[in-house]
Amino acid sequence: MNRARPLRALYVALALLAALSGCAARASAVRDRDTLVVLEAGDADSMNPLITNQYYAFLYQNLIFDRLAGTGADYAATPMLATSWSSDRRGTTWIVRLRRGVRWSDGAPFSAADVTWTWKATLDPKTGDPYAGQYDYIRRVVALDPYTVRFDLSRPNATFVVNVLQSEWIMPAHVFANVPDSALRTSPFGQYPIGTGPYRLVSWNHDQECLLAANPYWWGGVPSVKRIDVQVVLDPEGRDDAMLEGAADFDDGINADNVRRLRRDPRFRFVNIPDLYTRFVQINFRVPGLDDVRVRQAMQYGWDRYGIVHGLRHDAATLGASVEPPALRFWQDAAVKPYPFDPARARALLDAGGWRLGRDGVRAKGGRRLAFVFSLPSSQLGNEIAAEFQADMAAIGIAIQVRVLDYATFIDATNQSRFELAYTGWGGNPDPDQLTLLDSHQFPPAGNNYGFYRNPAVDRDLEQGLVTLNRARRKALYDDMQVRTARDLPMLFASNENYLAAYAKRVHPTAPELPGLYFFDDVMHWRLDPP
Amino acid sequence: MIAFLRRFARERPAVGGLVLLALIVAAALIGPLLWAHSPTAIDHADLGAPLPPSAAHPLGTDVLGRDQLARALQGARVSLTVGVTAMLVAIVVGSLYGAIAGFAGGRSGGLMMRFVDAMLSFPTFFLIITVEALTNRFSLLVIVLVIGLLSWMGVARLVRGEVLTLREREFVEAARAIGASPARIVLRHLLPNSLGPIVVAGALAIGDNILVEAGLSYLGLGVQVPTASWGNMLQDALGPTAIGAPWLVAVPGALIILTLLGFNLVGDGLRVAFEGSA
Amino acid sequence: MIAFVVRRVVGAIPLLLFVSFVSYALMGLAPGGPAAIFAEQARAMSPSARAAFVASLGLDKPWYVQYLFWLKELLLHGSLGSSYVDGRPVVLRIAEKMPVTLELIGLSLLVTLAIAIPLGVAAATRRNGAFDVGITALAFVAYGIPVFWLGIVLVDVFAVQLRWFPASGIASLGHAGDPLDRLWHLALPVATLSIVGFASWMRYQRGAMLDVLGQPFIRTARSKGLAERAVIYRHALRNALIPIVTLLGLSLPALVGGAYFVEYVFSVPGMGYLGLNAVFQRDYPTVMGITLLSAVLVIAGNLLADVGYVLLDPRVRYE
Repeated sequence: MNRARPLRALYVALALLAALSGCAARASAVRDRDTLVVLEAGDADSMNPLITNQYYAFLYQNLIFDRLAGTGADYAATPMLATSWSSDRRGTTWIVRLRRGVRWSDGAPFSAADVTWTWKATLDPKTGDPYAGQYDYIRRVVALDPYTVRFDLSRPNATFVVNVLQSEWIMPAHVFANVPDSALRTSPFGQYPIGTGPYRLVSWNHDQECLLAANPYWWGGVPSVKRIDVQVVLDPEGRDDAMLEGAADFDDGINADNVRRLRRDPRFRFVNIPDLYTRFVQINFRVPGLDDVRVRQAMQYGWDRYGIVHGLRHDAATLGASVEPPALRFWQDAAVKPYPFDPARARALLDAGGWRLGRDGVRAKGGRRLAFVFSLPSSQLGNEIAAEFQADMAAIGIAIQVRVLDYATFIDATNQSRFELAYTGWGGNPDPDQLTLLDSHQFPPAGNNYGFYRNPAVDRDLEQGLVTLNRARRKALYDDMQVRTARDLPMLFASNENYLAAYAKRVHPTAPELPGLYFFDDVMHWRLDPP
Repeated sequence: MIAFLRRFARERPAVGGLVLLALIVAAALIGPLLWAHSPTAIDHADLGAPLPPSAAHPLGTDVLGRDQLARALQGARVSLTVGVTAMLVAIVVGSLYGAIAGFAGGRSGGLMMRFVDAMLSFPTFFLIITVEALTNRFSLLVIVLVIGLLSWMGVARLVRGEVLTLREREFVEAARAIGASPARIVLRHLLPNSLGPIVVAGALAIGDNILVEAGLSYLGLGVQVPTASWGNMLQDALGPTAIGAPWLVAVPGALIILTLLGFNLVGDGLRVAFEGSA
Repeated sequence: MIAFVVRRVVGAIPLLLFVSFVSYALMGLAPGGPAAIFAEQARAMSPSARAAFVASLGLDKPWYVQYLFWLKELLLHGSLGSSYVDGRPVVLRIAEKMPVTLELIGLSLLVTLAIAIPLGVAAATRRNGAFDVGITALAFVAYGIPVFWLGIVLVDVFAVQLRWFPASGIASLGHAGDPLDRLWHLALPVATLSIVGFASWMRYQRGAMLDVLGQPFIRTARSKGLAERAVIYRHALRNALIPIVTLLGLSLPALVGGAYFVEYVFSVPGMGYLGLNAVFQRDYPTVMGITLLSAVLVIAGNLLADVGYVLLDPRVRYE
């Protein structure tokens, strides 16, 4: 048998394939007037609100489910599944009145039973909801009648409106009639969700595409954007290409580097607004040297964060100045300004503190050297920031050893306070409460004060602020807290990434401009011009 | 020995490879002493703007303003050290294991080789990544051990094969007759006579190890910031920044390719030189 | 022959047990279990909630006990468990991603062989001529090219600068399932793997051809007056292809490893991409599933190589 023939056939086939594939994808994607094509950098694994904790899941959940209250300008609560709510004078009993005539996407009617079931499941430890821990002050959720729910709290809590009314998605009790809470985690509901929101899930091809269409039973009428096509494109250049070819309308979470590429094209508009997340270097106060406020202030003065914001991030970030995220304009204390980049002042502080420069270029006092380990989870930007921090600290006489850990190990290490300096972040919540992070009664495992920061005056502000429902009085407390922490530095403020997005001119988003998830809150009312 | 060297010298590509390697090693050793720029010094004025090659920076600078030539030299030291050391670990472990398995023969020898087969069934690359990610201490020592301990199996097979043929030779019979202990026979007679394939495998292994280390560093699981390695120099080289800065991608890649070319040419030459003596 | 195959398959079982056990041990001994990732996003997961979560996944038991549970699931129900990340069966998650990886590996193997075999044959027949020297030099250089570096370069040049090919993914918007579009997306990843792979295959083919061409039966064929072409293609090549077959099986592990890298650089959602993410997320069930599957591929590759060897070379016989 002649072996050459199969080989030749192989070549012809390959040549044909090559030629044909070249002609392949010149055709553009299907585009119509009523479909919004959104690009995301990743996909969710499930849409079950009881088990998810990823941004991409929250995005879908916001479109498919409703909360009791929505979010308006400046994060104010607006009616959604609840039409009104009020608390008694002490703030330990809340009455929530529900909207009538609401239906689930399978046609079943919505009632208070759904709210009580959702909260029962959320609070039950057997369910394993990661956020259940922050609701330990809720004693009972009771349905007074089919359209009224009462929340009984063990103590007043100022975060109730934001964390309970505006954050929790309500789930259909009738779907889970015979399902025990321990089985909720593996329920197929995560792949086939049913909600009261403006959209329902049509199809989901994991890590590729998720198609949502208008929910015919939605209480708000008919959305002007009838279909949302979420396309998962993992890398930034691919997303750029899709936008440039006109194959997509909205790039959610574009990188600062890629903005430059699209900026030259007049067909796009950009969003660049401060976000709800803060990035900082958490400090472990049990490490000798770091407990000296002069050392902390010197590190803050000696760190060139301006270079990071202007140079590395191309102004797509905001300088950190306070523990409150920059997006919370009402709650940020305007009097607290970011530390300037002043290495001379840093050195002066260290000299005044008795930290003398040794022959190895590292400062020391009484046998204790200013040498610390800087831990961070691996990421390209993180590596650059770490290298930059290390160089800046070396210039003022502090030796930094960089330790890059993979994400899981980093979380584990910080949760067990096995760090000296850790580059981490916090936030995503429009409420200004920072108790779990900074209060001295919140050392792990009780809370998230992994650095063992202790300041009685700050404790008072935080504890009072948590139970003060009056907005003006609450702001005064948090302003005081911000002034004190800016001086005391429980953490080194870094640069906070802005929310960046790019969208085609045919898209007309409705106000207000809130970052991330909140930007899409009103997507059903956006106007789309023909493509 | 002289005959061996002469055979090697006749292979011109191999000699070329040797010269290339000598240059690279020399640069790695002496370079940092002659070139003043630091591989980790950051230029605040140029953050986010890599500079093309110039008189001040012959290989350009990267996104943090660090001199690429200094980083390339440091990377040479790191990559070569990891490559050679990991090779030594693999060679030592593999040769001893293979020699013992070959010499023992029979049941126990067979069992030992079954273990090698089992180890070879692992998806090595995935395993390296898993081990690196899980141990999470990225010191050079750990990297060397991980790479070395996951690549000794090939050497073991090779040496076992050699020992099986050598076992029946007269000098081994003679040694046994004198009453030499098995350990002595393995160490003094069998291993030295298997040296040929071991050395060739070693030369080629250095190249492979450098590739593995580069890959690990690129994924962030190898040499850590701020120390430069050819692999982690490529970490920042992807994306829009790199498009305007092709030198960031070209330099580390070219260095890896050249170094591997050197090792492969030398390895090939050694193989020819050894075979001529069989 | 059948008996031989059956024996090998049976012999693979202890091998797989060994692989799975060692993998589980590694993960069990490592710091930072799945509960760690989860708890970060949650504001102070209360101790009772964390305990419940840990217990619900069986993570409160020591790793060797967990391994036995996993084994039991596998043997009794043929299930690889559910992922910690989304609760979906691991088998499903892998099945979604496997076709892409197989396509990638299969196509690159085809392309590599299509280039390497004729080049190797040509080099052997023009031994030490300019062509041979040139091709061999090229192969030596290609040996040293890091897979991910080549991927980056190809993306930068052909995708970003020239816009001839897409930079990532496996489907254009709205073209999911279109085979031609798929090929277009796979072009660069396949090219990367092929360029890196062709060197060794070419050299092997050349070596094998040289070996065969030096054999007595070739001289006999020539002396009989057969045309040179017939000598090369009909007699020599057939015998020279035998080692290639063996190599096919043995090179499967390296191919799988290279494919993982390429999937990472080109953001191709295949098994490698899934596996790397699972390692970082400490999603033990998925990691175990992928490790086991890779081991199966390796063992199957070896088996194929041995079987192919027997089939192609009439002189070899196994009892």
